[in-house]
This record gives sequence, structure tokens and C-alpha cells, in this order.
Amino acid sequence: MAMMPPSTPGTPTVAVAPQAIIIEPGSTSSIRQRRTGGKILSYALLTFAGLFFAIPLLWTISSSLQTWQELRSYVPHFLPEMPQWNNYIQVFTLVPFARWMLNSLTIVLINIPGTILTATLTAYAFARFNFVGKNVWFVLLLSTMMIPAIVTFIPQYLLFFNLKFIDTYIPLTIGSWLGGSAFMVFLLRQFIMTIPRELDEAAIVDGANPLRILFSVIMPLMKPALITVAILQFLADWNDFFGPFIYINTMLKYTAAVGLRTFQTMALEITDPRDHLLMAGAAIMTIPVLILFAVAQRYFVSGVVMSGLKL
Amino acid sequence: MANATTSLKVVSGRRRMSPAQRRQNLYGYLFLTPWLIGFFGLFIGPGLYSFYLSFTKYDVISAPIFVATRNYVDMFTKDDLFWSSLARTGYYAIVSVPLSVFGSMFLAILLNSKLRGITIFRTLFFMPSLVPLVASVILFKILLNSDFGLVNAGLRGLGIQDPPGWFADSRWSIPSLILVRLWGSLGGTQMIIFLAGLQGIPTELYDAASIDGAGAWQRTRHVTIPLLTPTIFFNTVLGVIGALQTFAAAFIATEGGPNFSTWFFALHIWKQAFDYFNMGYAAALAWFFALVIVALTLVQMRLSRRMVFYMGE
Amino acid sequence: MARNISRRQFLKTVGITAIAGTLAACAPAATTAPSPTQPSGASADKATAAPAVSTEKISLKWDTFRAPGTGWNEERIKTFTDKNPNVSIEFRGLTGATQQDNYGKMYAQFAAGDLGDIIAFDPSHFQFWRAIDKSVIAPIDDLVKADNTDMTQWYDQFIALQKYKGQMYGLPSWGWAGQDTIVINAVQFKAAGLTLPDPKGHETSMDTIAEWAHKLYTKGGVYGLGMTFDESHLVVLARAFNGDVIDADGKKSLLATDKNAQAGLQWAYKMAKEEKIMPRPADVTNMAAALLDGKMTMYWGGSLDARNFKRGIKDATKAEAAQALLPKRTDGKFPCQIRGGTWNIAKTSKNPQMAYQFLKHITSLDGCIGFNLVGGQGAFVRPDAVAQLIKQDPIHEWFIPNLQNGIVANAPSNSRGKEYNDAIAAYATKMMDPNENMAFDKGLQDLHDNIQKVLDMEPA
Repeated sequence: MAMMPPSTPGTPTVAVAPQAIIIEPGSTSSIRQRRTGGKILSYALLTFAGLFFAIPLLWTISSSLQTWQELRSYVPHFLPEMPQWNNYIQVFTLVPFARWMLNSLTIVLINIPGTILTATLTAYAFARFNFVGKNVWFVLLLSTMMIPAIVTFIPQYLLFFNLKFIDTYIPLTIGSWLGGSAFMVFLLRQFIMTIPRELDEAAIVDGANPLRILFSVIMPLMKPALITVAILQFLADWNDFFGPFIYINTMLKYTAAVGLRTFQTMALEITDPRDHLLMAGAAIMTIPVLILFAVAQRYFVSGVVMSGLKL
Repeated sequence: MANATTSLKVVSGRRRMSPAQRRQNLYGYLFLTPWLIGFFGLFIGPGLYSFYLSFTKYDVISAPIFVATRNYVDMFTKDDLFWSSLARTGYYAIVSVPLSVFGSMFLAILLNSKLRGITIFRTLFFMPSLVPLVASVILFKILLNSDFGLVNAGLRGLGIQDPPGWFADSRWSIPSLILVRLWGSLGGTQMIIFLAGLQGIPTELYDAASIDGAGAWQRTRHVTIPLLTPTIFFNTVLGVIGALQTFAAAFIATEGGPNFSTWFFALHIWKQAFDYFNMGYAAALAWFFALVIVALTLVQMRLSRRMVFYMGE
Repeated sequence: MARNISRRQFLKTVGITAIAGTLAACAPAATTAPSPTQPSGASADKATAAPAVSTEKISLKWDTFRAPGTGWNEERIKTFTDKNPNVSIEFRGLTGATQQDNYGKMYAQFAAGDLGDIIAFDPSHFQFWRAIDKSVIAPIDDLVKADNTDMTQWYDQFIALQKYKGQMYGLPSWGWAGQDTIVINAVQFKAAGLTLPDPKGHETSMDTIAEWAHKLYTKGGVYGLGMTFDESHLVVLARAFNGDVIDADGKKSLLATDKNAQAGLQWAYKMAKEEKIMPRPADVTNMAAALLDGKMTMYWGGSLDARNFKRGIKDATKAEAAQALLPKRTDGKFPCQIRGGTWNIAKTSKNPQMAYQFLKHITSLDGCIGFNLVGGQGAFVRPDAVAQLIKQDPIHEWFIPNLQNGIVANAPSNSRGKEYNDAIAAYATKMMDPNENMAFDKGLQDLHDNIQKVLDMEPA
């Protein structure tokens, strides 16, 4: 899929695709000038945006290496006097942070297979079958994205109470095994619709039932989309504060996102604030996600692309 | 695009369902089962219960007391913060959504070029969306401290005598929140979706435009953007839904202040429910809110018919 | 309602404590858990007279947001279960975003039947009365009587705080005299040529404080005085001028009619809004840091803040802790607002007797000291604890006058405490914000109206 992307103003496009050769108006040297000029502009804009994103990130790192007095001082220190690597150790010794991260991971590992399985099943239903009332259900599916969470939240909480599921991970994981989020279903449905039906039909001729078709034919072709779903699910769960905050009471069962909060609230209780530890904890939490994203980036983008989100 | 529906027409003189159709129904619903359980158990069920609660006075500790439509009437007549919260939320959405959508679109266009090192930039842009919200809000509170935060120190260095009060000033608190939001989301999933949309634009169209003598900017205007309108629409709809429900950042950063300037509607519901324990009233507010969001979404979908261009139509 | 502890009584208690403490220090080390900041000479736990211990297994749950992560809770549990091996206590720390969030959680737990045996609904957060009315908390009068607990261990006001409608519902946990002081950075104060007042005296007038604020303010440099305008501050401000914010019954706002309270508001308004010599309200979360860094010389806080300020000082040439108490009122009392917490037993508890024993254990002298030094709470509820704290740091003497002669808080009678707090914080801050265009009379009227609105709501 060799595609030439649209370029920023000032840069003429020269197609590389074998079937088209474009002759631009103007001489070749001015083309090169314009191209270089355009490149410089692009880099400038990229750098400017990059700074906007990077500076607060750098600040997070820097503040995670300061002492609490430095961090709380009225005049902010951009760099710590002496990097307090000890902060990172303290994050693990003062609270069961490693355990908390493990808990976050547990939830992720339960949710990802759940979403992949049940969202696919749901998407498959919508993509491949013409059952009675299909459109109605589809609209209802989409409408779940529109209703603010706070409408269902209180009764959901009461429901889990009565089932004695509070302080367990069930409220945080059951949704992913019951179809996952509407957005994921939508994404997967679009993706499945780009897979030619001929493949299905070939399998039917071979005597396969729809379930077989799903697992042997369709899903292997869905890799990029499934990876995308996995990544999105991971991100949603890893940083989720609200769910664990409401449903988990025991400190040892906290996830890292909620646990991070204790650094803030503990500052209210004891005399020494712990903002520096909060920053260190945030940095620690972000690292695995970064690695994941760096590795899976290709799949992530292509997964979204191939789902044909051209709507 | 959506498959054509075969709706069964029941004509007089009953028509029996063909076995093929029956099979479609069977398998369709079979595969739909997990979602159906979730939909009714976690969505419809609680939704109905909260609808019932909206007609009661309920404080969690004692049983709900039926008060008929009093909550709904009070909302419009007795609640001082009702209209202002709505207005504030609207203002926030109107400003932040276009900035966010077009900002991430612009970044996606930038990132779509084949410049060297572009992957580094892409990763960098994406990183803020990975930082937990708590951390990024506190981060910005420190950076934007009105007396001695880094930003204002810089502004004063540039000669601006009276830099904005940011979170401490009721005129700047919403812009501050928008800033935090943009930082955390411009390079995030929305941008990735735009990237995907961009890569889905066939090169032939650009080639054709170039042959016609179109410069880069004109190509962007006449090819890229029109073909991105479905993606823009998609991101806008979700963006509006998200922006209207904004809560966490305001809660963490300013708790609705200063002087109610960041008291958004979702925060208002939260306060009524969990600080003042007026659960019934909060449920009524939530339902009203749901109606507003649904209405707005439908309006957007209406508008999209005229403004969104789908390829292959 | 505070009965003065006579000086002789006080000295007697201190004396006995000191002697007992010294004796105990000579005895072999008692079972206090190792903790880096325990005071030296750990004394044996005198307050817990071990009851007849039954051998049936009892398990208790302790829900609180006080001190999780500091080790204090675990230490208390260990020292108790060592003495009562048939008891196991599970500590469930709550860490909501703010203290208020945790109450929601506790109510929800109660509704689900999952509330712990030992809990805390603090009076100063106004949840205490509501929880009692909703039958969440059990009265402990019978338990006290059966145990013959000596109530004089604690200061009177804090015991009074545990009572409601004639019954007693808990034992004091944390407590102090509220926002009763102007915390001062002595180094900058003296550098401006001013003389420090007696930290325990009440001779400084409000006018003098205003003068100081002016003298210490340098445009673009240092603020003289900073304060926030939440309920705890506003009430003391009104009281310092011999007025008050709401009546003792908690039914009416006095601001529209009480000229003294209005004078107090005028005092602050002038400096905050007209002369603009106070920092912006929303920036004031950094006040303690500002003081430490020399960006502000005074701020309105409590004696507890003075103590914490002292603790935070690293460079003695830049900062030194001092305080100025507010002037004595015409009725002889000292302007303050006794604020305190409680430890309660849930009505649903199946083991109230053992829970009560544990209650005594955590509010004993050792428990109290630990709560202060390890748990980091301001718990000045016991004369003997304060005496020990004085030995550890003499600054604690500064607390005593107001503790002895303090004024309790007036609580809204409909127990809508959070709404009451929010209304004051929002409208008083708005009034005092130099960026808002709020005329004094309008600001006063708005504030009064909104407070009255809350007080007129139906009971929670």
C-alpha cells in the first residue's frame, strides 16, 4: 500500500507510485528549494508541538527527582539540586506499589481476552448476519456511548452491593466479558465488514458452521484490529481511577492508578507532603505503557486504518 | 457501510420465515448473547432503576421516599447552579471540541509526512495521553501557579506585567482546564484515528489534483479535508459527548472553583449525589443530562448529512 | 460549655504523668511497635486496664481514613492483639480524594451492611450528627459506665463534642482549637522592626495585626498576611470581633444583623480587596510553603500550623516560627473554634464491648502520642498527651490557653454540614477575591442569604 500522504503547505508532491508520474510546474531547483523550505517548516511545526508536549513530561521527571521541599518551594526549581533517585525506591517501600501494579496488570489480563472474545462475537453478529431487529439493536449499542456514565453508576453500585461483589475485581472486569465497550464493537464490526464474504462462503462450502468460520477464517485476518482493541483496553484499564476507587476498599487490592492518589491524600494527613512521590509513581506507571506502545505502534495505527474508519 | 437490511414484511396472509432467515436469526442472536446480557444487566436494568430513583428522595442510608416529579421541578426552579452549570459546560464543549478535533487533525497531517524521525515525534505526541490524569492535573497546577509557576515566570520574563491567574482566576480556570485536556489528548487516540483516515485517502485523488495544477494547500483544502469529514464527524460526535461529561479534571484541579467557575454539570451531579447525598435529585439531573446529550448527538447526525462526504456514495 | 480545668488539677495530672512516665521508662521496654519517630522513653500503656479476656475468637474491622500508610494503625492493632490474642482486627484504610469523599463510601458500606466495627464520623465534618440520626453510630454510655472509664483523661470540650441529644457516641480522636492564631515568620517580622508578641498572650488587637500586615507588605515581593475564607476561618474571624456567623442553635445566620461579625468581614475585605495586600484566595494552598520560603510573613492558621511550620524549617536564618493569638473577647473567651474528631462504634457491630476496649486503646496516652507523632495528626485532646508533647517540643505550650478556654463550633441543626461549608467557602471567597467586582454590601448579603438557604433546607 504505497501511498503518498498529503504534505504540508509549500511542499510539492512527487508521486512514487509506479503508475503515475507527475510533472510539476516550475523548474527542478525551485522545486527542491520549496521542498526543503517545506521540510524546514514541517520540522519547525513538529518541534514546536513537540516542545508543548515534552516540557510538562520533562517536568514530571524532574519533579519526581526533587525533594518535597524543593517541589513545594514557592519558586519552582526546574532541575533538582541533587537527583533523589531514592524517591523511586520510596514509592515501593512506603506503599505496596509493586503489588498495586500487579493488580492493575491482573485486571488488564482479565479484560483483554474478554473484550477480544465478546466484542468480536458481537461485531460478528452485526457484520455478518441479518437478523430480525438488527438495526434497532445497533442503534441501541451506539446509544450506550451517549448516556453519561453517571446515570447508570449509582444503581450499578447498588447491584454489585447486593450481589456482594464489592471489594472484588468483578465489577471492574465483568463488562469486558459481556461485549466490551460499544466503541470496540463498532471498530471490529467495521473491520469485519472489510473482509470479503467469499471467504466465508468458501468455508461454508467446506461444511463449516458460523462459529468455525469466525475462529478459523475471520479472526486470523483480524490481527491488527484485535491488537488495536487490546491496546485500547490496556490503556483504559491501566489508568482507570474511578472504577477501582469506588469498588475497592482494601488497600492491598488497589490498582496503581488509585494507589497514586494515596500520595496526594497522605499529604493531607501527615506533615511531609508527597508530591514528589506522586510524580515518581506516575513515571513508574507510564513506563510499561510506553514500552507497549513503542512496540505495538505499527499494529495500532494499521489496525485503525484497516478497519476502514472512513465510515 | 452498513449492510442492507432485510426487514421482514408481514403481509396479510402470514408468511413463513424461510429456513435461511431463521438461521440468520438464530446465529445472529446467539453471537449477540454476551452483549445482550451486559446490555440489560449493566445498562437497561440500572438505567431503569435510576429512572425510578429520580422520582424519589434517597440518601443511600434509608429507603427511597417517593416524591413524584418534585426533583424535576426543583431542578428548573430552585437550583441556583443548574442553569449556570449547563452554560459553563456548554462553553467548555464549544471551545474545547473544535480545538481538540482540528488540533489533532492538524497534527495528524503533520505526522503523516515521510520526514525522517517522524516516528519519534509520533511517540512523543502520544506520550501525554498515557500519563494518568491525576498526575497531569497536578503537574499543570504547579506549572500554572499564578505567582511563581514556570509559565508565568516565563511570561513575566517576556515583559507581560500581569500574567493570567490560571487556575486561581475565575476567568482563566476553564481555559486552564482546556489546556490540560489538550495536552493530554491532542496526540492521543483521536489523532491516531485521523492518521488512519488520512492513510485511507487514495493517492489517485492527489495525483489528479496535482495534474490540475493544485498546490499543496489547495490539495489539502479540496481533497484532504473533504475526505476527512467522516473522521472529523466521528471525532466530533465523540468529542462532544466526552466534553459535556467533563468531570475528573475539574474535580481534581479546582473542585468546581474558583467561585464556581469550573462547576460543570457532571460535577454538579456528583456533588448532589456524593457530597450532599441527594441521590434521587442527582438521578433526575443525570436523566435530564442524558436527554440533552442524545438530542445534541441527533442534531449532529442530522447536520452530518449535509456536511459529511462519504467516498463511494 | 467548657468547664475550666483548674490549674491545680492540670498540674497534678502533668505531675503524675511525668512521674509515671519516668518510672515506666526505667521498666523493661513495653510492647510498643518499633517506629522511627516514637518519643524516647516509651511508656507502658497505662490507659488500657485489661478486662476479663474471654477466649472466644472475636474479629473486628476498623475503617478509617486517618493515618493509613503511616504505620500507626498497624501498631495500635498489634499492641492490642498482643494483649488480647483471641481478637483479630482488620484495618481497612480509606483513601478517598478528600476526607469528605470517604464519608460517602462509609454510608454506602453501611447501606450494604459492610461497615466496620470501629469507624469515625467526625463532628467537625458535620457527618457525626447525621450518622447518629440515621442510626449508624451506637451510643456508648452503657459501655463507659460498665467500664468505669475515667472521662477526665481528655479535655472537657472534646468530650462535649462526643455528645448529642443527651447521649455519648464516641471517644476523642484528633482535636485542636482551630484557626486561632496568626502564624508568623519571626525572622522577617523582626527584620521589619516589629516586636514579637507573647505566643501565649492575648494582648494583640485586630488593628495591630492589620498594621503589621501593612508594614510587612512590599509590593511585588512579600505578602504581609494571607488567609483563606472557609468556614473554620470565617467563624474565628467573626468571633475575634465578638460576633459569630450562625447562632448556637444552628438555625439562623447572624451576618445580616450582627454588627460585630460585619466588622470582622470589613477588616478582611479592606485588606484583601481594597488594598490588595493579601494573596489571591485560590493561590493560598501554598501558604505554608510561602512562609517557609519567605514570600509571606504571616498567615491566619492555627497553633497546629505553627508547630508544623517549625517542623518544616530547614534554614534557621531564613525562618523561625512564632505566633500571635487573637485578642480576648469581651465575654472573656479566646477566639477559636474547637475542632475535633471521634472514634465511634457502628450500631451494626456484633462485638461492641471488645470494640470499646479497642477504642480506649487507640485513644489512650500512647495511642494519642502515636497519633500525633507517627500518624501526623493534630490530637491535643488529652492533657497528659499535650504535656508529653511539650517535653518533646515546647511549642506545644502555645496550644494550651485556647484548648482550655475554647469555644465549640456551632453546627447546622439540619446537619447539612457539607453544604454549609461549601456555601461559606464559595461566597466568602468570592467576596474577598480582588479579581471579582463584589461590593461589600452585596457580598455580605449574598453570603448571608446562601448560608440561610442551607440552614433552611430540610434535614439531611
